[in-house]
Amino acid sequence: MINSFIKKNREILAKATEKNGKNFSDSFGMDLDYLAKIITFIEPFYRYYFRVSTFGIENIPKDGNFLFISNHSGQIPIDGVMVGLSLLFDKEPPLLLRSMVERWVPELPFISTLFSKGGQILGTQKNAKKLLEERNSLLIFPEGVKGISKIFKDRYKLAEFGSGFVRLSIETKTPIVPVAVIGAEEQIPTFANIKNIANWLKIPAMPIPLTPIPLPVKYRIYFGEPFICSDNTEESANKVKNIIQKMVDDGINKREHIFW
Amino acid sequence: MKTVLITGIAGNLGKILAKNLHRKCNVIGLDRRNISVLPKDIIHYKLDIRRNRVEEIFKKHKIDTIFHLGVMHNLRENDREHHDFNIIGTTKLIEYAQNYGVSQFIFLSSGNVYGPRATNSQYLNEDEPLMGGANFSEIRDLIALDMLVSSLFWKAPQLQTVILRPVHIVGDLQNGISNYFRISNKIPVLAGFDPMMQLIHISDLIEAFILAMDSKKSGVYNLASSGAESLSKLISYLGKKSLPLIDPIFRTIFHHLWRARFVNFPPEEFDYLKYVCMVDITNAKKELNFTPKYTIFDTLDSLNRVFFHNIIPI
Repeated sequence: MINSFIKKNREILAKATEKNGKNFSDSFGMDLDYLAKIITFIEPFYRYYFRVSTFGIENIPKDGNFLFISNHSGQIPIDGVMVGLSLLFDKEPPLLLRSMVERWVPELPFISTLFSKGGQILGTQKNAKKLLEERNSLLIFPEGVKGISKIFKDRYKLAEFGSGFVRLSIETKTPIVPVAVIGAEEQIPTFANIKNIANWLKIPAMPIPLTPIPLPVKYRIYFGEPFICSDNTEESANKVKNIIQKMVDDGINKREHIFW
Repeated sequence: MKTVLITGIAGNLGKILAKNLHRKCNVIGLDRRNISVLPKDIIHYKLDIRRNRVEEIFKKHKIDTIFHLGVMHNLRENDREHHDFNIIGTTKLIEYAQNYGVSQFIFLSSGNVYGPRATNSQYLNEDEPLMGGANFSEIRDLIALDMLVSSLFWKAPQLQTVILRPVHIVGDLQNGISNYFRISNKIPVLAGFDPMMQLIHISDLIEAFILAMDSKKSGVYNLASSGAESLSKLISYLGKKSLPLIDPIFRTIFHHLWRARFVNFPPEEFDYLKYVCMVDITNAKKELNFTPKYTIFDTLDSLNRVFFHNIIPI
């Protein structure tokens, strides 16, 4: 039973990597068989727990690779996983999305292996550039930790955007696809982020959650139309931020309920 | 016909390079070790590289190219002797190269000068800082030499200087990584870590030496055979099994075993089993026309060509 699910997901991954040739080998060590197992494990969460709906996925052209820029929220990066799965399950042909992890991840036993075999790479400019030059699609959260560790009262107000992604997009001639994730902000409501403790423990954030596990909020993921930034400035980054903020606001207005 | 000087010719790599060159060049060897089985037309000087008599070689022969492979990597050697041999020896060699009109200086450094680190990008290019010495003091010698030789780029622009930084050289050699893959049927790895690795086949490295000699370009070049694989895949390709060790505990145990000379694997090398230290070879491809002819798996095959008893008692 499980094997048939793994097989189905392995076929989706094969389809997503078809353009890279038959004997796909990833220079960053992604292992498709391993990834198929991970995806099979999280698929029930995608379908039955967070019940992800996607909108505007037809905006993404069939071919080519893209730089997906999204808002970031929810204390733990479930939003990244859901965006990645939506492009595999809901897009035709499926698209395999890579994303980048924090600099301390390679130091963690088991997790580092899980991430690198699952196609996640260490977040450095060089890695991102190489990945895009090899025609992979990449997901970036320009808000970084500031975005994911937002407290409840600041929900859906995008934090400041870093501008590295604009340069990346221009240098590798990769179109940007804006993404708005609605729902993730409410999965783990927090009322405070105690920065002193975070600094003391040398971790990026120390949020005080109101729930021990993420709530079964409904995820809505909006994909905008791809575009190319003309110049590498902070203004361009701000423009992208405004586009995503507008998509987020529209999404919230259309939403009738947090949980369904 | 060019006259080339190979330092460290008594090492396996030196011997292989000499055998590849002696038909098209006059080959002169310099090593303080005894040397066996070499083609007869190779002149060998059994001398310590620091001795003043080394200058005689330059007076006697008009040397065109120096292949400097004579860097001591013996981790058991006393630190002071190690450092003195490497730094003083190389400084003298550089001095003779400048005084006696040598036109090429080709130095064998290593990709390990970048060091395995958690924050490394997947593929490091030649401009990356040389951080290999941060945890592993024995690499500091090599980094000092690499920098010493790279100072020639501005000090002696007339001298064509090439620094080669190959990744782990695997094959019929007695180096740490080759011996690591030869450890019994269970190869120790660190539990929860499975870094990607690159290897280089000896023939690809020799090819790079020859390309460097034939080109007129100075520069620093990373080298690797084609492909990169995770450590676990390499181990299973050899038909062996992994023996997972828990890092902080076994690092401490190995530290004591190493000091008591029970193992030949310094605990600092554990980092190679933990983090990536891979190189980008675009520069060598573009400037030297280097195209690796072997894959990472061919390289592992070359390891099996010779029978070897277990060096590390595990």
